[in-house]
Amino acid sequence: MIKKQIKLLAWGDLLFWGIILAVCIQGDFFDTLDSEETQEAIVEIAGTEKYRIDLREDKDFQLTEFRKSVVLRIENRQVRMIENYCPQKICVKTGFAKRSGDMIICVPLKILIYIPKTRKKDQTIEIITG
Amino acid sequence: MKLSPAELREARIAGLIVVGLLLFIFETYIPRPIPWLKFGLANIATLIALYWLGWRAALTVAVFRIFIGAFFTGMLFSPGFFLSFSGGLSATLVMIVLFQLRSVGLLTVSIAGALTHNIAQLILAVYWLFGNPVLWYLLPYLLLTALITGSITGGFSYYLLQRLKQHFSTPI
Repeated sequence: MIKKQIKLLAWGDLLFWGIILAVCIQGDFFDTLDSEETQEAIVEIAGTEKYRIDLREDKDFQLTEFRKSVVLRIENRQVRMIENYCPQKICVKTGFAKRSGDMIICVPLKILIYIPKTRKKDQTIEIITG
Repeated sequence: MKLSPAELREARIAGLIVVGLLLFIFETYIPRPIPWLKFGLANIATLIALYWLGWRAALTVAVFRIFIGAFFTGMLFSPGFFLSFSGGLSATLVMIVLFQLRSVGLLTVSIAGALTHNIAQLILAVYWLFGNPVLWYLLPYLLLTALITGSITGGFSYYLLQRLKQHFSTPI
């Protein structure tokens, strides 16, 4: 039976939203990714790093591990998947990865392409010598 | 033909599974602002089952919808299926717990379900599928999209439940 009164919102929601807000503040979630010029992209397949691709040279790059064509395009220091045989082609539709932290993911073929985070300029390690 | 209460209940659960499947398939055809963003419209069927027929019905609708949906889309037992199954099952369990507490509203139940769905999928992707913690950078974006999609499905479910209440006010 449908309850007489279905509440869209209730007092208990305040506790839930408080927890969500606290997690967001504590996690510093929306820390902006730095936008330093990227030089390489990492390609992992099934959890194993297979390639480090130099983004400074424009080219098409074939992933030879698969039975059908899977091709990446490197262009203007950006990388994108231009050809894949996975069913939904979400990885192809994702477009270019250009900033550090950007990712292209293909779940069916377990492909992860990402641009590693680079150290921000003000985060350099200081070496103090005696 | 007069159906017994048990038969009527089974028919309603079956109907909600079909609704969930249709929404799941419909969602694959609508354009998405972000390629990996899913609205989780099929969760509307689970939410309606939860508030209309109880937690057992919600669990039944969720599990059958995921299996049959994966079968029809050719994804059964693929990596995507396991992400979908873990996300859908954990989301349903969290929604059931919050529903049983009865101190939170439908909108929060829906959003909590969407958040759990995304977090469960991310955990599975980080520790099983890709084995790379760099994926945790996606967490804020997944949480933000869960807040939006959970609100949308929660709003739709609330509206539909109000309409259902007008037509099916008799106990099952």
